[in-house]
Amino acid sequence: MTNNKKTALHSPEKQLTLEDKLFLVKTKKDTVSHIKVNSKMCKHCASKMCLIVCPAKTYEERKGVIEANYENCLECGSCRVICTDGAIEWENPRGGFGVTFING
Amino acid sequence: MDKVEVIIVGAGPSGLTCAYTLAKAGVEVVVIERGEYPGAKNMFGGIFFSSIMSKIFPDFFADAPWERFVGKRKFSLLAGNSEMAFDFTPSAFNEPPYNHSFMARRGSMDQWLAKKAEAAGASIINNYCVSDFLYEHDKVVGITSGGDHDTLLADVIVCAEGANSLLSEKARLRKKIMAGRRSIAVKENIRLPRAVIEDRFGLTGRQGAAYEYFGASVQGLLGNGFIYTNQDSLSVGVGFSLSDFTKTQTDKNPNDILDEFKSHPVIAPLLRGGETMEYMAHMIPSDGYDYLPKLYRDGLLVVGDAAGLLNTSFFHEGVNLAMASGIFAAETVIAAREQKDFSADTLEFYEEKLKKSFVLQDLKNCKNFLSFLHKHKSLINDYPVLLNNVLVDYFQVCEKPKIQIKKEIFQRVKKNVKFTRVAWDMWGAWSNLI
Ligand SMILES: Cc1cc2nc3c(=O)[nH]c(=O)nc-3n(C[C@H](O)[C@H](O)[C@H](O)COP(=O)(O)OP(=O)(O)OC[C@H]3O[C@@H](n4cnc5c(N)ncnc54)[C@H](O)[C@@H]3O)c2cc1C
Ligand code: SF4
Ligand code: SF4
Repeated sequence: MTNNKKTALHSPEKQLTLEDKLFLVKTKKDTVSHIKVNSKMCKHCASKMCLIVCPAKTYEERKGVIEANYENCLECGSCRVICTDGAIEWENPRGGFGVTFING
Repeated sequence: MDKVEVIIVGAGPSGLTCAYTLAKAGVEVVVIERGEYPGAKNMFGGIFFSSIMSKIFPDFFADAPWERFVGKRKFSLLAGNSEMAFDFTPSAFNEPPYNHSFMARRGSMDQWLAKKAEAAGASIINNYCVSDFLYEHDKVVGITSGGDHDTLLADVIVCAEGANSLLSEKARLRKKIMAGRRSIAVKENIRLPRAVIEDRFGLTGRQGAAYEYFGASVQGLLGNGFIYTNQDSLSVGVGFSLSDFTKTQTDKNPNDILDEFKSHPVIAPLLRGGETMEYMAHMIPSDGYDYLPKLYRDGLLVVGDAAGLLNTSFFHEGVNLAMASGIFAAETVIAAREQKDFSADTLEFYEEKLKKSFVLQDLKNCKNFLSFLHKHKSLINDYPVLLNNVLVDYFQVCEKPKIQIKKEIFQRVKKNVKFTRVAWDMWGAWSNLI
């Protein structure tokens, strides 16, 4: 399922929302998540930094539980690095799945 | 299980240069890449520093898919709504070999390099993500993608996986990467007609401009914003230290910081009318000389960003260090192959080569760059504002005698800062940053 939604017509000064920007990213969605959150460990986490650092806002807190919407992930790895409690188990998506950057 | 002489994990500049050098020497080498094609997962600023590249590929200038040569550079301090900049267009940058600096897009550049490696005899397997190494006793002997049948063995493996160094951690070459060891960057590719780019940035032909913005460009974080001109688009992004980001406790996410950079009154006119084509994110290593991972173990070498080989100072050099390390790794493997010994004792030669070269010497030289800035954030936050106010006052047009204006400026500055402190900071900046 390749999803290359080409470009949306807009100009930067009209400020795209994050959703608009993520819509432009070519992704091949996997059926399994490459991110697992061990939310038991999040109980002691004051910063909840994963909710802020992620450039794709992949993480969400629902009823006190941290969940990862892995389909949005841009595969930068920053969440894995900032989570000092080791609650995030992050692997690369399987070969050929995930993002493809055209203009990197 | 199938076996080859050398496996390289990752088809970026480090892995592909290593593959090319090995294949050219007649070594059987397979490059494994998790993306659809080399470059598909990669993003950089970016300037492709090509001094090494043009030595190994003399057709680089004529044939490689570079966008523009870097003829104009600007280092700018943003403060509030103002800008102070140091802009230079030396003739030496505008004549061959163009200071070996070319704007490029990774998708096309990495594929060009991959073709060179393939033409020399290397095999490249795309769409294969290595999930772990295989071990025999303590020696790394192969790779797996997780499935029992998806394995491949080799005499020696080169890990060229880039900044998100999962495999290096699994192989215990380094501890889990913490925020202090990485920066994050987000970037947009913004399309504009070629003629508009050339008029707006004052460019001729394939000349390009690389603008770096410090100070208010990234909300006072340790990092910077950038604009690089491609032929028909701009690369516009921000990058900053993850540890500074977590310490600052901002509630802005990296995309918000990019949006604010883009709408800064100095930046917005440069992007006017542009059309965002793509939004991307990537990490940048900032390990620094004193915190590099172990660079080898029995059966394994690590190169490029995975080894933390990036110049974190103003130079932002990554690809050329990656390529140099790829070549040194290949030369080490060739020597080890002659001795039929791929143990750590033989592979140690790789680290020696890095130490003797610009790679580790430059890293050593800039090892205090980031820690110095961490401790002296006034350099990026307060001084730009101060300097800006001084300039505004100095150039004000009014009926006061200039001598009186000068006195007033002096008094105001004296009230706000201690000169000994400034002198100390400047001395520190000179010895640690430049
Ligand atoms: C925003 C930004 C701006 C930059 N600007 C510049 C610049 O202007 N100039 C400069 O010289 N450098 C710049 N750099 C740094 C430069 O991009 C890197 O130093 C360089 O790309 C390192 O090359 P590499 O081959 O080591 O790693 P990478 O280029 O990251 O390549 C790693 C490869 O390994 C693959 N891979 C990873 N894990 C696996 C796995 N498990 N299995 C299979 N394949 C895998 C990846 O898909 C990728 O293709 C910048 C970086 C960033 C993020
Ligand atoms: S940062 Fe880590 S520990 Fe904290 S909420 Fe997020 S996942 Fe949980
Ligand atoms: S890897 Fe990057 S984009 Fe993906 S979830 Fe983590 S922070 Fe977000």
